[in-house]
Amino acid sequence: MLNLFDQKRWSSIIPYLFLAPWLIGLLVFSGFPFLSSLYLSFTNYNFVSSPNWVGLKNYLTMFTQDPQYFQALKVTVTYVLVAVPLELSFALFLALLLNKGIRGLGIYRAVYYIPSLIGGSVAIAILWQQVFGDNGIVNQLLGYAGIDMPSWVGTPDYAIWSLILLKVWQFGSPMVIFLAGLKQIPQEFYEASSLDGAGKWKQFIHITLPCLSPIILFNGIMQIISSFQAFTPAYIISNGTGGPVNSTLFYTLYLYQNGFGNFQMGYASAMAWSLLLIIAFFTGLIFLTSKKWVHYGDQG
Amino acid sequence: MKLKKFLLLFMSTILFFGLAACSSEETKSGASDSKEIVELRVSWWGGQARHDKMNELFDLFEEKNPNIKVSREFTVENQYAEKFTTQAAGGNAPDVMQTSSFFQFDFVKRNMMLDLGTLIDSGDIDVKDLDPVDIEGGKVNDKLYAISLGHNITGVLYNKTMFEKAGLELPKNNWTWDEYVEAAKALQKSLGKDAWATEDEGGVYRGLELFAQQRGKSVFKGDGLGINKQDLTDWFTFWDQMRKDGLTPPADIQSEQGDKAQEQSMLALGKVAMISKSSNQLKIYQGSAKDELAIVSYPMDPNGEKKVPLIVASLGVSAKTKHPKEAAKLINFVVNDPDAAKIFKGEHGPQASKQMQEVIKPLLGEPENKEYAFVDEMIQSSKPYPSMPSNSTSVQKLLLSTNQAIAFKQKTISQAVDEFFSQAEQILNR
Repeated sequence: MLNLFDQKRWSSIIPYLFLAPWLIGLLVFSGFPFLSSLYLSFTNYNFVSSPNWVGLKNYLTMFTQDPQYFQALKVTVTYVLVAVPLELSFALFLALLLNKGIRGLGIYRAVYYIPSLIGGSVAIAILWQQVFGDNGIVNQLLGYAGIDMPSWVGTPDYAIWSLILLKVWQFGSPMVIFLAGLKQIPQEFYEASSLDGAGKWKQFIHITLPCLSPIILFNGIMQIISSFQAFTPAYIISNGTGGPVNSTLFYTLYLYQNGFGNFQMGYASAMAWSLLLIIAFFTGLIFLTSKKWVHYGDQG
Repeated sequence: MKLKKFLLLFMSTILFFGLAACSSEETKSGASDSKEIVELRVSWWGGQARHDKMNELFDLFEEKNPNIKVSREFTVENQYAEKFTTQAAGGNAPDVMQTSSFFQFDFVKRNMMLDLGTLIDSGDIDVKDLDPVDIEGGKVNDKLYAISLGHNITGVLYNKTMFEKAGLELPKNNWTWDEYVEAAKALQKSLGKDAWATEDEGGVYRGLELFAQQRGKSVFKGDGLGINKQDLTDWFTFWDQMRKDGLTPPADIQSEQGDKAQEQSMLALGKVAMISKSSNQLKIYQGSAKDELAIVSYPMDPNGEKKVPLIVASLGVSAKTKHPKEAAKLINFVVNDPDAAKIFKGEHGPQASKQMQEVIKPLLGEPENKEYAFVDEMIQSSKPYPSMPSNSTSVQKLLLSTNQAIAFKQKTISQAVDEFFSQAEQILNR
């Protein structure tokens, strides 16, 4: 029997008591949906009738009979492979500039960080739709330069680029992390190397990049995961269609269309689990190769 | 032992929350003895002008029924079905929803709408004054699910000023496809480079439906498609030719137009001279257009079937509503109360109730008079809107992206048609 006055017992229980709100939330709002979506991915479920077991059918359809699925995968992988390196390079470039000890660093840091906070919002997506429209400000500026462009968001070949630019524009959060990383690099390294006659470029390649590599790894993985899950910008800019001609049909958007447009919850769940595996694959790949290019200070 | 303790604690915490939930439930039901305020959620689609009207309408309803609070949700038409089905899927559908001939079959077949039979038998909704064509239009499988707000017929809304500038005679109802193309070519000559004769409507379901009707068919039949590949090829070929002749906006401008509200549409901004819409839209577009607009019937095949499907815009009740009586009260107010009619002024076309039509007659302006004249003439040769299978709204969207693929030259017409059929069948067989 539990003795209510036994102090020892209480001291082992109390931590759980404090954890309980979070723990219950995790189990009820994350754990349960997580497992039920795994179950649903093997069923045919349309909300109305109860789910019936179809085994691997959803996965087979996805990989063998659904051209839209591959289109969505192609769009998303392109987006990730182009947007993430661009965003990280841009973030690193600005972090290097800001690391030169300029005045008002705090202000710049805050200003450049703002897009990261609001970039995923509906309001910005709507703004983007205007900015990259046929008569948007981008085309007007290009017009002054004598370049006649069609509507960015309305043309299949360019629409994805407006989304990539939106992603790159959110360079603020990796930049702040890079800045912190740059401050950690011991100044002696640079002093020693310049005595040996290394120029700025050599210093960047042989000191900055290796010392920063754990941070690059971290930023890269975080950005890859969040890019695979991008949804709002494509949804708003294409009015939920993934158009023009499926050129912005992000994986999550197609998943949403299947689940809530066509009421194919089983199929949508299967897509979600495949996405998990795809992200795991890319992340794993990076971790495996990271042994070759990531240097931790304590390893010498 | 440790696990056991943990579980005990865990269970008791859950119990505690359970108790808390129970007790709050009790206080709620206790309060219902006195005057409880019922919250009724209503959703609709439209542009800003309609939102203003609906708000005014429901303010009045709240005034007349102090125990009912109407909370309001609205969006543009193209996103409406998706939003509503998402809510319904989450068990969170609004109590009363706007629907129409385009949506109701899908909604009913997904078990999202309530059969209104009992509410009509009990007298909560009075349908005595409603026109039989409106009643017929709200039925799915012979059961009444939707109460008409007004009836419409698809026509071509056109910019009268542009027709006059081009030196064209104004088109007459039942004009032919040839006359339509002739007019478009003449218009284009006078419009020049920055405006176009018509929007690219190859991806517009309602147009394809009328095209199919004239061939004695329908886009959907039973649980599948009612047209064949040849029909769709002819349809896409027609619009492809229109694009090649420069009579429609280029693909990128058309695709950017998407589903912008009437206020930002190319017709209102004077960038196109014609679009096909429901007749009730005339006054709404006119509200934000500088030039004078008018309406004429959709182009006809002179040798084809001449009956046009009647579109009914309506209100329905969610299958899962907790307040069917209040929902019925609201619908009854909108369709039968003269004060409501005066605010609503036939927003969705001539109202089902002749009495209400009389009430608002003196209040109508020039665009409405044109609209009513058009509907009164065309309704003589109308028939109920063809039934559609479940998931048909997704096929309507597929048509749009298929037409885009052709317009952007990503697919040939025959490729696009083949893919449309295989994908549509996949969607409809789910």
